[in-house]
Amino acid sequence: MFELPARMTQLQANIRAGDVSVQDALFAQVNRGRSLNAQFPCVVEELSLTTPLDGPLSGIALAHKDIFQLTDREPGCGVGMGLAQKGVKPAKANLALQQAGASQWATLVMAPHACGATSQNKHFARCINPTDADAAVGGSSSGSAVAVAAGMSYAAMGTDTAGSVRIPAATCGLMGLKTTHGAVSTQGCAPLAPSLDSVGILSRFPQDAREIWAALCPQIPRKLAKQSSNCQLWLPEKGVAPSVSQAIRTWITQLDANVSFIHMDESFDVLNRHAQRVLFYETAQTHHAALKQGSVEPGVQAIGLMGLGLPHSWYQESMHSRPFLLQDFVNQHFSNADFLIVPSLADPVPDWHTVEIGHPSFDRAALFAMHRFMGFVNYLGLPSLNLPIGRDLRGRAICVQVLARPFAEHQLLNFAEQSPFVFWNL
Amino acid sequence: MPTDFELHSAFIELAKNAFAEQAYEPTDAILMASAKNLARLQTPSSAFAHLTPDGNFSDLLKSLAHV
Repeated sequence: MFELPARMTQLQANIRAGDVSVQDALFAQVNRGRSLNAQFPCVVEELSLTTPLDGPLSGIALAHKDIFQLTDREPGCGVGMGLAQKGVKPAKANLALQQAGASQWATLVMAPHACGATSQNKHFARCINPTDADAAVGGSSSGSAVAVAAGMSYAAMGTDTAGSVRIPAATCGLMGLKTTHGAVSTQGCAPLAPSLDSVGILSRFPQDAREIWAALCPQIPRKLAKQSSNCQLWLPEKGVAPSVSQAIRTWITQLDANVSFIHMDESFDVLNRHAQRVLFYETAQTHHAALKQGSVEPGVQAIGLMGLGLPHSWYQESMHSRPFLLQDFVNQHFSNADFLIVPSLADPVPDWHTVEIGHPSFDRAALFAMHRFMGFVNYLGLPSLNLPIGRDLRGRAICVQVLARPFAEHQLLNFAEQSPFVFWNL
Repeated sequence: MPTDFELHSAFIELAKNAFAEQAYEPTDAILMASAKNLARLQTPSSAFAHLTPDGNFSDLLKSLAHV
């Protein structure tokens, strides 16, 4: 049987060169995915492959978070198996990948209703982190991270409302691209907080993420990489583990970039509060009926009830301030710089049981450290890339987030390609 | 300056009204947690309250893309 290469772009080249047929490539990927799923269970449902369309992704079999509608199938959203239903149309994001030639062989587990910073989910087997079995897997796109890190799918789509692509990517040493709000349609994707929801991409390599991004947003032209970038770096003095700070400081000395340290503690704090107001309020609206009936998942309940108790005027104020705060933020951080670098996880990747609610060793602070730096980005609507930049003493990934102007996803991926650290040395 | 007790009472009242608007009757524990949450989510008074944004948020994102 054809031996699959490490990178999706290599397989695309093999297919283009006629080294392997589209059918054989698909067969090899599905077989590999199936076999790895026994070790790293993250598949909700295996799908039958249809004949792919001609396109740059012909012969690529992917798996995605089970939050997207598919042809004649409603998603399970992390609480069940999905529902066969005639007439259901695929989500626009899935359709865009299909039109580029991609196939989908499986749907992947996720935190219930995309509401959770970890993979905790009583409806499915616990997610095992392929990079370290004791390490936590972040959520809510947990299955997407496991599938990509295990090698079951070269890339996977997830969604990100308050870190749900970047957190799982950070725990598994992956690229995790949260796209600009609205750049990829969320039509056909189960909502959580629509003002914050964005489709995202997880992959091992930036080149593979770029192929998916180009298929999702073909109208945005690819950019040539700049020789040397100007970056701002925010390393908060408090609340970031010394080992994380040190790894970031070491990494920037190896970067071919001009890096200036900045302080943004106050503006971050205000943005974060606005982000939480919007998250709470809109989650409550999305799950209003279930909250009132008391039939809601624990993660949704924790956030949704806070949303029901939030005055509508507070939500309105946060939504009204949003464009002004975005404008200020862009002026302040991207007038003279291409990128803003901030930590991803505030602490090293924790052991899974320390962030498992209800486990005797559960540590609330460890859970908070996983999502602390995430929500404000969704409030601003900006693109952000989780990028592995080092390893801790246990070999687990240490990551940063790289933020850029709206629709600068190609530039973010260029930056990642130039990063001196490589997590997946394959 | 309002006392801690007055602040606390004000947030309980705010949360109570918000729950009522949503036709939801919280338990005492949920009400207290919500009041605490509101205290945490206070923001400085908005400098933008009297300004009208130009266009919608999506248009602004597009306009801020790199030229």
